[in-house]
Amino acid sequence: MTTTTTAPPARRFRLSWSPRGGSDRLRADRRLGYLLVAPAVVSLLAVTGYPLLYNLWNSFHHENLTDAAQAHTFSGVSNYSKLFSSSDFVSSLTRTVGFMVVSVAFETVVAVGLALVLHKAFKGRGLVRAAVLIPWAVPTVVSALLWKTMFDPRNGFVDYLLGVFHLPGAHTTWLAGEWTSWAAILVADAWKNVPFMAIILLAGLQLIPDDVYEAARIDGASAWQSFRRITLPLLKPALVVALVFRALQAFLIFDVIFIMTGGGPGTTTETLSYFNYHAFLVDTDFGFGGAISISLVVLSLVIAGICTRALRPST
Amino acid sequence: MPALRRRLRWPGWGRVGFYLAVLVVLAVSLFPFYWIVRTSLETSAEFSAGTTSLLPAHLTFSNYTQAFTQADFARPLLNSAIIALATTAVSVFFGSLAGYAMARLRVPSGPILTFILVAGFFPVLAMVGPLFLLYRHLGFLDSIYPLIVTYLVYTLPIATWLLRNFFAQIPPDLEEAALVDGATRLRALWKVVVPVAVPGVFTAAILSFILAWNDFAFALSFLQTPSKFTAPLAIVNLGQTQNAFQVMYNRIDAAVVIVTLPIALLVLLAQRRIVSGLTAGALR
Amino acid sequence: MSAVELDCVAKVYPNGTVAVSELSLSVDDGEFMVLVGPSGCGKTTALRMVAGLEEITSGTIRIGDRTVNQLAPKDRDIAMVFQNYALYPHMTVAANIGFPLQLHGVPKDEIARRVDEAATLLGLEQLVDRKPGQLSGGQRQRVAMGRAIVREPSLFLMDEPLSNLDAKLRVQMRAEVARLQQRVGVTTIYVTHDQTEAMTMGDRVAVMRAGLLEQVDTPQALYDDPDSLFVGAFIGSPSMNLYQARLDISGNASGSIELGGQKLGLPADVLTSRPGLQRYKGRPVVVGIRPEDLSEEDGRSESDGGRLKADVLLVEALGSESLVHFDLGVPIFEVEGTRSAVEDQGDVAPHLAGIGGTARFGPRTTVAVGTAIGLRVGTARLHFFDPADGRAIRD
Ligand SMILES: Nc1ncnc2c1ncn2[C@@H]1O[C@H](COP(=O)(O)OP(=O)(O)O)[C@@H](O)[C@H]1O
Ligand SMILES: [Mg+2]
Repeated sequence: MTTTTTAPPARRFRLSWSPRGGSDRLRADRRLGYLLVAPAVVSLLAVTGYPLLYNLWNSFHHENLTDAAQAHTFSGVSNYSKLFSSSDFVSSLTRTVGFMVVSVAFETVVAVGLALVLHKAFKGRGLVRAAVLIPWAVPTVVSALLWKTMFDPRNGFVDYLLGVFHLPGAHTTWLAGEWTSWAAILVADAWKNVPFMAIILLAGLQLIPDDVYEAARIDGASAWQSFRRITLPLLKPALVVALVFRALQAFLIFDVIFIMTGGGPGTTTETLSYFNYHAFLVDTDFGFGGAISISLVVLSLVIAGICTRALRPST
Repeated sequence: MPALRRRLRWPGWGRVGFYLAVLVVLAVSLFPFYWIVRTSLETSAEFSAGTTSLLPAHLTFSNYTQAFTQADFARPLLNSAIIALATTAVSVFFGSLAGYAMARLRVPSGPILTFILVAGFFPVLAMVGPLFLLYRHLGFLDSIYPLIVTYLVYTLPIATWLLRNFFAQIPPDLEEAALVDGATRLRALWKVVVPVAVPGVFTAAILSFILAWNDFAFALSFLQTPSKFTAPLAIVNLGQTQNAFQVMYNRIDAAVVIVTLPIALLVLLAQRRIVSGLTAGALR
Repeated sequence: MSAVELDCVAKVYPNGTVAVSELSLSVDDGEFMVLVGPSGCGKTTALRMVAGLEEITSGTIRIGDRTVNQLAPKDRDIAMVFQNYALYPHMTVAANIGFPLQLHGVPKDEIARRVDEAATLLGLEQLVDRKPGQLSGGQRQRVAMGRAIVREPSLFLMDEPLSNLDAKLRVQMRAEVARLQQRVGVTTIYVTHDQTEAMTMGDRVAVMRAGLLEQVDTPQALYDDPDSLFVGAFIGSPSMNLYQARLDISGNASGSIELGGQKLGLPADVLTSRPGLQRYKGRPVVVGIRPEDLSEEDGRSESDGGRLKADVLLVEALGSESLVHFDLGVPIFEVEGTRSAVEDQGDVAPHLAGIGGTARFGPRTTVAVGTAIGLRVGTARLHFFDPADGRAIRD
């Protein structure tokens, strides 16, 4: 049984303090803060915020450079109605979403495998990681032309392989057919982007403590069980991040398409970004292009929303 | 103990399987590079005849010399280097300022950071139209300098994010010591915080350089004369100006190899920085 | 060099924590002032307000003849030594020490000369080209000191600069820092939670508790004449034995206190020198006995003081003296915030904390564990405190 002194002597203390305002120096700090943030924010506003508003304005006006007579006149929603009734828009949207779903699914599976390989400690892991990163780091122009070479009907490695093993399909002009073109695009795109996903997933793997696996092994879990029941659930945050990044990138795919197929054969590999490019810089229709851009932005937001929402609830 | 027995019985096979997987990974990543190098070392006659072997018949460097003599590929390389380096410098500079402000000064970093990161996902092709009109109005078309500002959309979000995280990890003691020692906020930033954050600055710079070096869409949209082209644009142009029935990849791939080399070197030297940068950029 | 004056200084953090309330303190020119108190009592906050690193919520701080409330740290002409030293990891020792001079635009050759001087003074000559990462804890501490003294500022601020060192080095650096301060003569405010450090280093010591200043005085005065129960319990090692007791004052002059079942006689002069005690007649007080005011009963002199019977729990022979832990059959009176600080220093065997008391005997004492002994109490040096508000009872 011990006795204890009660509260310290009463405080004669007035609050002359307000939560937000602060003194001169605090305010000076905050002012300096805004000043330092300004260059970054202003330059990003200039290259994204400005185009967004300009597109919005253009999409309600006649802005076709080949039609100077009507320039800048209000066009109501005609650009949008033209867009939504355009079969080119609908089909390029379908293609784009289809490509996004297929490529992201395929790349995710491969990336998980690659991440598992890169995660394991082995001699020369640094070099292997570097080797894997090079495809990610090279310009898309490089990966696209590289795979165009690989798929060349007479000089490509694919052709060579088919020839060596006497398989059918030698001398196929891959980029002349719709589905074979998509296959080539998918391969080129995956080759460049799987490493990125794998690196993100690798970071996720590194956050999982080893003792969890040890505990599972003592509990008698097989390798597959511990992957299914431990690795995947704990990897989920990293998977969400990687998926959102990749889904948006795939949705906006342009460089590969432009270089490998130019949207062809016909328009069978035209994606939304390509469609938008065409409207802006081939047809020079900035009103119609603006409408496409606005729908691109809106759809990107929708996709980001769906991805994060769909994957958020953790089990 | 089944798990233990399995480990005792199969250690060799697990290892073999794993190293096979590593080999496949290496082959898929690197073999295509071998193939373009191989193609780039063929003469046009050999190339036209079709490829029937893994090794080239004999090596010729004529495609490389031609890239510099006939195609004047040095010019686009220089353009790309200027733009990428300038973009890197600007984004590291702006990113340091903004990152520091958000890590240490009392700016509401939540909304600002969200804006900066969301801007990084803005559809590039949606920017092309309005910026085309703007640059046309300002007489900026067909000039490499406006691209520096434009490329910030690729580089600034990740640079700012990385630097903010790095600055936040530096003990506040350090700059407080500098403040007491007689530094202003900005001086403490340049003399103490940034030098201590050098690894982060490096990471931000490397990623910025790679992202700026890789652009194609903006260059395609805004540049018109071949002497202004960036390297990626010049390569694609090389393919499209060939009138031949067959695209001569031996010639194109020489340029592709040249553009790839600096990036491959950078990756080999800075693999760790890039991995940490990408992961810090993505998870947190 | 200048005096420092804190006038009713308070700090409320944005989250509402009242870290410092109404702190008034003057530090004389050239004085070594130690701010001591248990962890979380607001010492660091107070120091950072003086440095200008923390906004002052209310009150005024003057350094020399300037009010510095609105001055940026760089304009206050101060130098600070941080708990983790805050050495610039990318600079060599020489560059670290020279950095403040460089910031003040001192010419290069003079920087070199003064850095040299400081390095010599601190025994760092051999290390000037190293980076902080290549130094031991003690060496880093010296570099931090070097960076502080090289500027010849008007005020040194140090926040637990020795707490990251191991025990032996800490004792050595304690003397070194104090000697250095005497030598350069710069006014110093030194923060520590270690009362031994405070007692050995400070010209004066300010004891803080829960954001409030308890007492400021010379170490000896704090020890001999604590204003409050808190100061009495916090200062001194082993700490003061505190018991709740009932004070009886018989008719004329003398009195006694009842401690558990025992009666301790109080001679008249004890009461006359503390007239305030009259108000506590028949009421509980807290009585404090320093360990050295308890001595071994030798059965001869019956003269002054009272005696108490106690059971010996443990005898710690320290060579120069023996600490005898005993049980009076009365629980010790606990004072919030002091126990942990005492235990940190390892002065009390943990299993004894809270039961008994400690006496400081001669080295050759023969008392044995488990026996009952008589303790002679130096009643003239007893301390009395009000159990409710903890104030010392004097007049
Ligand atoms: N930045 C802060 N925000 C809110 N409360 C703080 C902050 N810094 C310190 N405190 C609180 O203020 C009180 C005093 O802290 P401090 O001055 O660091 O104490 P000491 O140095 O004596 O250990 C503590 O209760 C602490 O939790
Ligand atoms: Mg402290």
